[in-house]
Amino acid sequence: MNYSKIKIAAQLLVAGAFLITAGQSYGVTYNLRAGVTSKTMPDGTVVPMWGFADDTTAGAGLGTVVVPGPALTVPPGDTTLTINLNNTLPEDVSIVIPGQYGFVRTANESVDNDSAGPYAGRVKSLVHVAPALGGNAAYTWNGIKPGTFLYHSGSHAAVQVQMGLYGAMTAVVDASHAYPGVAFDSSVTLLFSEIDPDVHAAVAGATYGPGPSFQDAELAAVSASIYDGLHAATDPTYAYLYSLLDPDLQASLLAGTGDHAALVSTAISELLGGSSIYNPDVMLDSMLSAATMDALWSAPEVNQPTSPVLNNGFMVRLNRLLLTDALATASPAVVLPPVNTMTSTIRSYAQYFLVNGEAYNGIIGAGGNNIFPSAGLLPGSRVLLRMLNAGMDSHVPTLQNGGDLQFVAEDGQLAPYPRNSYSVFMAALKTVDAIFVAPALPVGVASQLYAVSDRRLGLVNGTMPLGGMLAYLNVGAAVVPVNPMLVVSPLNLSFTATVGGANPANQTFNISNGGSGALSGVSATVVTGSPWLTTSGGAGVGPVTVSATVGALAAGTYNGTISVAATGDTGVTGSPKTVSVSFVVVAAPVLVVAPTSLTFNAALGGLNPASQTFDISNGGGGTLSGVTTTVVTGSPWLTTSAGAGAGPVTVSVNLASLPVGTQPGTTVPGAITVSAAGVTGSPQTVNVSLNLAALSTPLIVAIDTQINTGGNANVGTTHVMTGIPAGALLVLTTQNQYDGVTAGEQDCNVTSGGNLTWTRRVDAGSTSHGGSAEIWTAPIPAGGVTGGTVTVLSRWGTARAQSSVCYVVTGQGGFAALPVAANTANNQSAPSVSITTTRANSLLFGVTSDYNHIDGSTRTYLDTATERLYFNQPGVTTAYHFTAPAATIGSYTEGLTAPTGQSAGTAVMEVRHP
Amino acid sequence: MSANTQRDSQQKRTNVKSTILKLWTGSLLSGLVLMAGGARAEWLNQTTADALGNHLVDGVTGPAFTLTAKEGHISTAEGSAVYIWGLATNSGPTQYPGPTLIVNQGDQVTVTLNNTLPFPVSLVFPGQVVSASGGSPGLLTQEATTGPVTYTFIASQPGTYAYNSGTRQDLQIEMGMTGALIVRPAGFSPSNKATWKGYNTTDSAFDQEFLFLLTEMDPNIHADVEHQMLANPTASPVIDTTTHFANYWFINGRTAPDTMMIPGSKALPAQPYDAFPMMHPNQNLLMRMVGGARDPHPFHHHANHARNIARNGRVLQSTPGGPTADLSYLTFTIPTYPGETTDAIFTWTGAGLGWDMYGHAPGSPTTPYNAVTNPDGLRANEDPHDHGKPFPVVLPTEQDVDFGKWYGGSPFLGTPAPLPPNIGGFDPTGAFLYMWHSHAEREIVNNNVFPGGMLTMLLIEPWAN
Repeated sequence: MNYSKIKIAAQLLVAGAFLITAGQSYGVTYNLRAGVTSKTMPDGTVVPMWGFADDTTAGAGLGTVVVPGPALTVPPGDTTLTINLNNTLPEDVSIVIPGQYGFVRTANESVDNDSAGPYAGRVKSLVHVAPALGGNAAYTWNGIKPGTFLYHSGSHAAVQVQMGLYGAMTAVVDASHAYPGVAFDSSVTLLFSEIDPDVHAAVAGATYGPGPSFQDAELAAVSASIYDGLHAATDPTYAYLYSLLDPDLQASLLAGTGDHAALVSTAISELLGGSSIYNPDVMLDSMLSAATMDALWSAPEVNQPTSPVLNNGFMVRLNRLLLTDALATASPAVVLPPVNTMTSTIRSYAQYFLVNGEAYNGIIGAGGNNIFPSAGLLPGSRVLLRMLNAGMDSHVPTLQNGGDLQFVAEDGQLAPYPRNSYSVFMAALKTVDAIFVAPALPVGVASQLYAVSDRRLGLVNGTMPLGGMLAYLNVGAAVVPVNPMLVVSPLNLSFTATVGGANPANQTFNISNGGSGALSGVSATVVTGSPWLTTSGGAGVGPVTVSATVGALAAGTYNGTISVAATGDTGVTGSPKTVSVSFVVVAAPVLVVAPTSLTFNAALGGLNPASQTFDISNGGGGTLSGVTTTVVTGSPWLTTSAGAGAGPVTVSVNLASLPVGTQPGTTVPGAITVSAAGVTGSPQTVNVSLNLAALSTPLIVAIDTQINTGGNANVGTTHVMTGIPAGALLVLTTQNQYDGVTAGEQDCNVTSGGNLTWTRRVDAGSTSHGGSAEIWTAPIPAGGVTGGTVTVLSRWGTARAQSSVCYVVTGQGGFAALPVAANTANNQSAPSVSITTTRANSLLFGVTSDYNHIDGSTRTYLDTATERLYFNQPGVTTAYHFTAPAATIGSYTEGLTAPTGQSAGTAVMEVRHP
Repeated sequence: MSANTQRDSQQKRTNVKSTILKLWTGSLLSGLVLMAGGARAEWLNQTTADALGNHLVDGVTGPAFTLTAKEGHISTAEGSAVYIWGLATNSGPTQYPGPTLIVNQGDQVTVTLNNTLPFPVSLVFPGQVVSASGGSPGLLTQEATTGPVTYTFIASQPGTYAYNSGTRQDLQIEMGMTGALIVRPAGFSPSNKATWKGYNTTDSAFDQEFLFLLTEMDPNIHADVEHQMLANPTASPVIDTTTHFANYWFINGRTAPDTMMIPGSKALPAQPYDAFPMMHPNQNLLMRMVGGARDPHPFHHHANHARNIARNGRVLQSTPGGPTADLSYLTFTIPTYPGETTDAIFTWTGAGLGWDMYGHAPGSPTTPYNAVTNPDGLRANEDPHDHGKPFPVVLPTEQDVDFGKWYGGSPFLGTPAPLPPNIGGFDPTGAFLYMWHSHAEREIVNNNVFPGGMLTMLLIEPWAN
């Protein structure tokens, strides 16, 4: 790594007095060289690789080409990274760092295409390139973000990344924080990648790439002719080249002697002689003339370098040989193309799986090449595990027996919440950061290894088991450093306070010596720019008290840092350390209630109105607490839900609890008080208005129908009514059928019980047919019904069928006005009966019992009656229960016009409006 | 639901499975199916349904287990037999996948591994801190050669976990040594459905529970291993696993349509676990997804999204130990990574379809359905917006339509309708069926025969009336 001059100056400053402050920015520069190297796999296979070297000076060539490339680190405080790239490879190369958004674009980033040739217009690179064979390029990123990133070639990436042009680029917030709020003590990098040796061999052997390519139709035709004529049934791309280069010609070319054009012509002529497939005219014109042939063959790749790089078919290769010879280069390298050409990485199968550039050598423990770090991690320390996947396949590194890893970041982005897991799925080119808390060592054990293995099973070296992508995290016994070591814990503090409120309680961090000797020259200094942050202590080991002062701070989050350093000893380690302090100042809570008035509408004697709500909320910051919600005394009809904090409060009205004597047509006021001690805006009042109207008509608030058929047993049917309001009247319409035995009318039998007294009000019976249609009533006693329910028993003597309807009626005229109007009739055709009402807005209740049991499936009611129950038991009885409004005082005829042929009794009763 | 209808419901499930199996596999297996469900202690030793027929995962309860690595063969639905190295409970028959180990949170779990194979084997339990005794040291843990190894750990956190071989994983996992470990949260009781939860969170409660352990195999590797084992029964086979190319895909060790065959079928002696999820509308179905082999599989469940509540046995929540999975999220494809697990809660109500899947007529009152479940008169979680909306398509006449085996004769849930002779038959209860399968659709074949592979059906049974 090389720092620019300004950077070096900054470092000196830092080392001297730790005066680095926000606002300054520095750059770091690396001089990388892309070049060729090789790796020897544990099974002995030597794989050609491409990699990067770290040169101290651009072009100096002092570094060693390594895979993965040099670890690029940008120190805290630096914001700019520059890479000067020198490229010695035979392909154009570039560098990209996905996730670092401050890349400084040059003018022509996106136009780096082939300007001519068969692939003109094709994008070759994501960014500008360092041209092949010695070219240079510079790349700069501003605003470097902390995190773990991969850098890799952005040119022909399908090959170049696979060949080894990748590495890790990292930056931290400060020496103790990888990301804001993510403290760590040490870090381990695990960079995963793969090797398909066939790809590497093909690239190194210049047999990687697309097959024959011709620029004009004539060449294509010639190629096809020769190919077809010589090897009609075989395919290898270079088969015709082998044939073309007959021994004489090859020898001549290798020796660099002879009339090559003539030799080639002769060879082709001989090889093609007698073939009837090719077009002789084409061959004669273009092949048998040496001059034409030279011109023709020179066309495609005149400027092709002498090293074996591209193969565009035999024409190109032959041309290269001829050119080489023509230039009189000594001993030109004639490379016969191998048969096992690789045209792309689409069928690549990785054979070797690397961690940090090495395939595991299968040795467990000492001697293993996969133990990280070699020195051992301190038990209990927080290890930042940087994992990067530079391979083309996905991998699933899995920790064995080490507890949970805490995953804190992905692709260099801090996760909003850490996730605990023993493994992680890593797609190609993914980076992941996790915190590994090094487990304690068992008593008497000096070090322990924790395996991290690829659950996608890249755990072999070729066909050899015990290899591949297996790393061990090395947790070692705490070795006391020979020098003093600065240890600070914790490295994160967080305060919370309210605007204008009390200062938060003080907190502490501890300074201790993790090494030998005495720690001296200790200082804990608040970095300029955080006047709200103060410390006391910190001149030596021991606790340092940290205070946060609210003062006049507005709401917001304030971040400050405390720099802890020990400068008294030359050999001190772990210095400096940085403690991050965050101070969240929230606005004071404000009690807000909405709406502040509620209006209920109800009819006196009717149903309770639906509940309503108002909301309690915090219009400020922080937490709203100590909220109480109370109904102002004097409104027993008004109740609320708890209302002990933010959220909706339900307000209910119970008409039964209204004061005695409350009149319809009035508005009853009430109020609810919401308060929170010491909170702005407290108390708040919600005014409640209850508008009471009179009931417009008797109101049926509950209804139940019952039918009982079959058998002659004296069994009743039961109506169970609940929630009966005060002042209500129970009305029961009931009918039963003659039992065929007993003489005379068979009356219904409704039993009074408890504090409920039933009275038969209307009775339409037939002595000739024995059945009965009746209406009974029972007032609700003043004290209500015990238990809140009422049971109405309706039964018939020994009749054969019976039906009844029980109504709960409110808003009725009351029994002081008895007798109610009622009437009965016995009809032989369609039943009807007339009744003269005594008040406006009354409600009529009726029941018809047909002893002739005519089928009433098609039936028509008189007036505006509403059917409440229809019941037909063929051969026994038919019954109709109904109600009808009666708006004005007068005569009403109720009953049915169809079906006819009935022998019916009909009972009708008026329940009056008050 | 009365006692009678409870029994009916259970019986119905069994009938449906039997019917489906018989019709899909034809006469070859139908005789065997009826014999299924005999002694089953090797792979199942617990109650897997409550009195109402609600399902729990099949498996073996702990906390002490004895497993034996053992060779054998499995069947694939297109008719092949594949050689495996499986795991048996005690000295029972080998099975694929290994027994589903079910323990309770806080248990001290011991797994004793015996080995009948001529090379070392071992087991690892990612997510647990394991101590091993016996055997000889290996790369990841102690390995069993001739004598057994005992693995011990405290099942400290509830959840779904994978376990598998820790020795030559690239081959032994491929050959079949993989399985699932389920840790029940504290307070869980199989007989008390009120305690059925995946985690100690309120939103992990479920009515039905199913395991989906997804694996794949390269049959060429298995054939090669079998040949080498036959030629030299005492040597460790030499296999290149880097050219692995899968051509079989499994759910719980079975390929479709065997996934829907009853558990413990004697037609599949080494593959006891089925993968046939069933539920009633508005129930919560806990999907326990496990990646068991080497490739990731995108598991796509038709019918509805599912809420992902946990990964790798850890609840997705902002505060560990909090009351809910507040970082949960909905997906309709669950990427199941090798060695990793996902828990998701799936539910289905029919709400939002835009038509009344119960077939109520326009204007049909809600009252007659009071008795079914809901006090508001709607069917179980029927969408009130869709109540009474007719099915929007006029069904073709019999002459114009070809009936599928899954068709109940009616588009309405719980309404089977008359069908022509020999038509239908898989759906005698008018249930809805949805395909659940790998969304890498290359994986729903059996050795290139479609359909098959990583595929099953979700059966939504109507509530009993």
